[in-house]
Amino acid sequence: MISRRNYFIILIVMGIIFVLFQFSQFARSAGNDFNVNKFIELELPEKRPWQQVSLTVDDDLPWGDKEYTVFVGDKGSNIGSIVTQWTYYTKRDILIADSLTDFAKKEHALPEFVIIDSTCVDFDTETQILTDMLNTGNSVILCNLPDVSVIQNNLELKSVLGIDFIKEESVTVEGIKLFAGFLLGGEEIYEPQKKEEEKRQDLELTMPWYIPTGGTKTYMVGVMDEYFDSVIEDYEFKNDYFPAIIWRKSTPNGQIFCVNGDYMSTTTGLGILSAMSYELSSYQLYPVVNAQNTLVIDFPLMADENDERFNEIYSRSFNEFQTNVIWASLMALGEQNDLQFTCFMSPKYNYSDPAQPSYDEYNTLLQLFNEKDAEVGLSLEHADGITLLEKLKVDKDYYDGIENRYQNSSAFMDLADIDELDEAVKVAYVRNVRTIACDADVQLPILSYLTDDITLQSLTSNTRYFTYSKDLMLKSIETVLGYDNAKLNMSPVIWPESVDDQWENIYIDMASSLATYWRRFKVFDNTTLTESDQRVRTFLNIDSSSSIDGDVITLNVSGADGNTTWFMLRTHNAKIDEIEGATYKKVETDAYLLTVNSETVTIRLKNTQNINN
Amino acid sequence: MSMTVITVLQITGIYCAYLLITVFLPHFAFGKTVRFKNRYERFLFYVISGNFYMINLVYLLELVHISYRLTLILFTVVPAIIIKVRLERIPLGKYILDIWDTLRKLTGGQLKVKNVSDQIEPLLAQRRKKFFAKIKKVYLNNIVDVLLTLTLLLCILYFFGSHLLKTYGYKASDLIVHNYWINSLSENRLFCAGIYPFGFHNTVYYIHKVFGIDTVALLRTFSLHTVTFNILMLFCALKLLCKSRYIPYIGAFMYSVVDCFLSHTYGRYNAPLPQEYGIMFIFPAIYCGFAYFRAQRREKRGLYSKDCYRYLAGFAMSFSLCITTHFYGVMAAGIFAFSMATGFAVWLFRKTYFKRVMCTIFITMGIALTPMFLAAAEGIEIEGSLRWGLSIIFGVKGDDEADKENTETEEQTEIVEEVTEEVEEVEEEVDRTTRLQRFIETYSEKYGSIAGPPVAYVELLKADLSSNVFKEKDQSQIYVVLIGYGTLLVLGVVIMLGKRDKMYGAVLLSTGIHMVVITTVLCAGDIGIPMLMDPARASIYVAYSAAFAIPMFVDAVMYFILGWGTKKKYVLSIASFALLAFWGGMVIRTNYIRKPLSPGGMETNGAVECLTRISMEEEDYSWTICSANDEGRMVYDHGFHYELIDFLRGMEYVADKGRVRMPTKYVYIFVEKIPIDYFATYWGSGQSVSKFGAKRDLPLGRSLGLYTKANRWICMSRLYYWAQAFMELYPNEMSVYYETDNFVCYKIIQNPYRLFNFAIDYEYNSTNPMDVEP
Repeated sequence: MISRRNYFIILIVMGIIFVLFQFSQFARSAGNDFNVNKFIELELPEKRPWQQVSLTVDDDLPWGDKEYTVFVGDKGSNIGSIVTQWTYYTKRDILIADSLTDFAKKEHALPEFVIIDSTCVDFDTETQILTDMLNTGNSVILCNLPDVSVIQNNLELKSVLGIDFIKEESVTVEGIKLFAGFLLGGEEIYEPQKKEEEKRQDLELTMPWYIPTGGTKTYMVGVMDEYFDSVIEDYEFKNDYFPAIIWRKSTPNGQIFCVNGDYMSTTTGLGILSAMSYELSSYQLYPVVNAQNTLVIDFPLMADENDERFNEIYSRSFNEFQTNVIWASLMALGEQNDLQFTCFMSPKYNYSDPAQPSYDEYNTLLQLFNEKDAEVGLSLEHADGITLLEKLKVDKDYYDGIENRYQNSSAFMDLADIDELDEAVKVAYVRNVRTIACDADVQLPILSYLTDDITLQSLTSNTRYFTYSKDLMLKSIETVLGYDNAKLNMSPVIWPESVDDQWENIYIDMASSLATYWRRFKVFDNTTLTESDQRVRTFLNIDSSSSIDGDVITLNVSGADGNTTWFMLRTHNAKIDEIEGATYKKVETDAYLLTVNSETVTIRLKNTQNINN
Repeated sequence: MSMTVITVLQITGIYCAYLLITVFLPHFAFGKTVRFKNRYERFLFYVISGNFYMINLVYLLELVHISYRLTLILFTVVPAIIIKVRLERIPLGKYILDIWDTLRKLTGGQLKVKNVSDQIEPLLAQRRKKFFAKIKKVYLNNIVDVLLTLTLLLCILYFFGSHLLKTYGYKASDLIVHNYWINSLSENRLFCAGIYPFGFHNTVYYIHKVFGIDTVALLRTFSLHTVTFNILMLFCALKLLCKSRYIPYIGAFMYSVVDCFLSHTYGRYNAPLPQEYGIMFIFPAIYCGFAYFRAQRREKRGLYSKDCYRYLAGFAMSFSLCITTHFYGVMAAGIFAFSMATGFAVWLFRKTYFKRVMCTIFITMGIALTPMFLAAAEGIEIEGSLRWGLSIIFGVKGDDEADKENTETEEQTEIVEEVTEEVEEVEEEVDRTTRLQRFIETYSEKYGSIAGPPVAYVELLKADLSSNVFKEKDQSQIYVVLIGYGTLLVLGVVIMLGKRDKMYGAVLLSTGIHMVVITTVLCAGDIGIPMLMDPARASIYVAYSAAFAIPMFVDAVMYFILGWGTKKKYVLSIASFALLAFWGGMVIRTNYIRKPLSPGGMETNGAVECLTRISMEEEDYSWTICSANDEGRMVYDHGFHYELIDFLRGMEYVADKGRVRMPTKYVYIFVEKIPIDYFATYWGSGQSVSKFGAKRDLPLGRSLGLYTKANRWICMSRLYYWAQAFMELYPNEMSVYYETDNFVCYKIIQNPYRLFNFAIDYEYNSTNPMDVEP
């Protein structure tokens, strides 16, 4: 028997505990305006993109003393696309020539760079032009090298390229080493050390074995172990004989960069061009987007698709799994890596599956997403057997049935459906979409306006199957744009084809990649796709110029219309002493991210090397 | 931090380290057993025992190849503690148990910290009181001595140390070699270049290892410490031997401030050199010898004490330190020891004295020479300069010369022999009429055949002293010196024959004999006897001895005149102070004060400043300096060095096809825009690097001649234009690290995993392959 007194005390305590627990739940739902897309309220800059002047050798050159870039090659080729994109992002005007001879004939002021696609050069007749260009002070970037036999038989070309000797016409290396200070993200050795890492190796490992001469600087090399030791046994500094992949040969007047491999015909080339540009100047100050997006594609789905298989693998329905397992895991991943998710929902993925989308989960999931400041976009992706417009039509019924529907401002779509975008945006629930993400294509800009109102933000990385080439690409894009659009694709989880597609395996792969490869770029802001859209529009609008006088750099920014802009400052052995008109964060040694809120920024550098200072 | 501040801190640090080992550690170990001794004698004993232990410890550990920082510290601290415990009969076990018990109780809560502090506080208060009482007794009661000593120390700092703040580089050409020998001790390679007295090197190495002070810093500044202790040892010996209290200051000030000696007699104090370091131990040895005779006499009278052994031990340590440090120091000390044996002959040849003295001499030789004999037993040959020195003394040719001769062809040998015979014939003729003989002839004509030769001898001494030791400002002062020699001899004999302090008389006699003998050694060439030392070296010892003998002479005169009666101590004190004041006043009034040392450096200030900063700021072994020679030894322990001539030759004729690499992240290039005159001047001394210089052929060979005269200018011109060309190719990777009007240091940052090939075409690389060196 308990006394009345104790009975009441216990009762009161239980009541208090009950209220406390319920209060937190009540508070969560009461303050959660999950039906409102707060990102849609972000003010967008007016569309006034910077206009690049792009001319051919037949045009009159209007630049005078203004710096411009020359591309010798086919504009429609992959390299041409990369060079055009890079000049656009870095706000450079461009002159395109079909051949070196054409360019040499044209009277012109000294360009900042001459970027050459070797496939458009006849080295038997045009090597002398290349030599003359270097002697007259041109900085040349050779995006690829001619066949080894061409170099072997052309001593002048060999000398121009800074090749001391060709050790072997073709050698297969075991890995590739990228040295620090070139691309952002630091040094990397792309050589598998464990069995499970071998699947990451997808870089081009067979190449001619060039040994550069004096006056060169090497940025990337192939690495070998046993074979190398057997061939280079008697050499003093063995490292110097690894096959050079990217190097620079300097002459008293000009400099030439050589790329031994096909790195410039992918988006990796963007960052390499930026890094080369940095190497050629005493400092580099260029606009960046400063946005890191993490896109979760086809998550959530409202229908219990593939239910039988799901129950077989996970012993629960798909809806339960995505709420209690996938989202919980993603939240943990987000906490660990400071990620901000943009989840692209879809009523269904596979329209041949009989399961119908449910309305029950809609609000619950939105509430959960809202608690973590995640954005919800539309997934316009779908399985085979249906077109985009058919999918939109089917989905419209579902969305029409939702009261207080969330207004989606971003969407993800298949690259194959991009032509149907104009029709798609006429659909009511797609009408508010202002930015589209889609898979990357080298011919498609990473960042651009798709229509007058909608921007394109191509995916730049995929957390699954994160191979060495993708890491190189990630570093490259981060270098040139300070931007990443990472994809976590959930459709394989819903429709698994092998054990690898099961959530636990995908999650491990994803988590390890995010924790390892993305951590290097934590200095950049994590954003949702709509947030980054705002930054992309500002980035595309602005123009900038900078100059250095002694140790003071002056940056002039135009076209920002009062919006914040971000710039990457890379110095050689100097740190920021004072800055006016901006704030900065250190990215890595000699690299700083500037947050600019005014039209003029003054930066005083301090040379860390001179003790007279 | 400016280089001046760094240098001041280094000098202070080295003073502290050296004092700790040579004064405070001996004081800690056996201070209580000699507490009844005069403070000057204690100081003298501490210094010699500290140096003796330090040098021989390094010898011992080096010989067994276990010389590291840990072993050096261990073998320094542990024996000091053991000696203290044994001598003072400290119940160490009980102390440890007490402390352990207290700690146990503290941690167990049985005792509180307050209880312990209450117990300790009275003890500490008592110690504090005792300490301040001692300070009062020693310093406040001797305020005149304290002020005069402080003035002396300040004078030493100013006259011998101010140049260290103006010129940072090494100031003697052979310091680089000594640096190399000291570096080799770090690798447990004793006598790396052959057997040589390594006392100085052991000392520098010990301080470097134990206290972490860079060898470069030590070799830049240790000269100041050396001269300080040389003067302090002279001063202490005078303090202990003079009858009057303030006369010793005359000797110390005379040697450090007064402009009476020719500059070369003290000029070598601009650099820390073994010979100058060895000078420190001459007077401690001599004083211990004198003191032994006095102690032995007391013992004979029944006043038995251990003093005899102490002084003999002191003599053995000091004399062995002379042997261990430099052979010229041994000669000077040996001459004084010989003079002492003559002066104290009355006592020396008595059985007890003789037995102990001979034993001591054998022990001294044994201690000093054992490491060298052991090394010789291992097959190590005698070092070149020592062999040369021995050949001078014993009049035999060194192996090098013999080898050289063997390599001559027979034809050449014949020619050489013919010429040599002719030269020898001429020399013999000249030798037959030495300067002394010419003097005798001159003065015999003037004063007759009896008075002539002594006058001629005195005149010869005067002439040699005036051209080698004393300044010719006032010729009469040299007569005063010579009269002083005579007075010392006469008064020594007179006092010995009198009833007063006979031993003092023997000291005066010994000093007089020493001065006559060492001055004779100075004049050996002119007299026609074998030269033990060349006059330039002998003059250094004559000057140092004169700074001892002249005050002794003054003291002897004062003692002879005033040293009577019961109040003689006070009378002598007052008179000596008055004389010191008068003399000091005269010196100041006549501005008879020397100028502070101001030697030129063997490196530019910029080079030394850069080297110091690089060593301090960069991670060890992450950098390489490419320069002309000297930094090669100076970067040891911190970084690497690339020889300039190898660097330039690496791209000669081949330009960028050559391979010149330095496998460190940072590379520093030292360029003298106005090349220094290394060793010697030439027709273009002081000219800047120029295209004209760069166009000239690179010098051939591998000797230091590459970096002297015009060759240095050519090398530096080449390097300068290489740097300009390389900077054009690598503007972002190469920057100016430091620049002055006459020096520039470039810094290159390279990828250590993919090194730059420094071989480039810088326009001045020779192109004619026929010029290639065989």
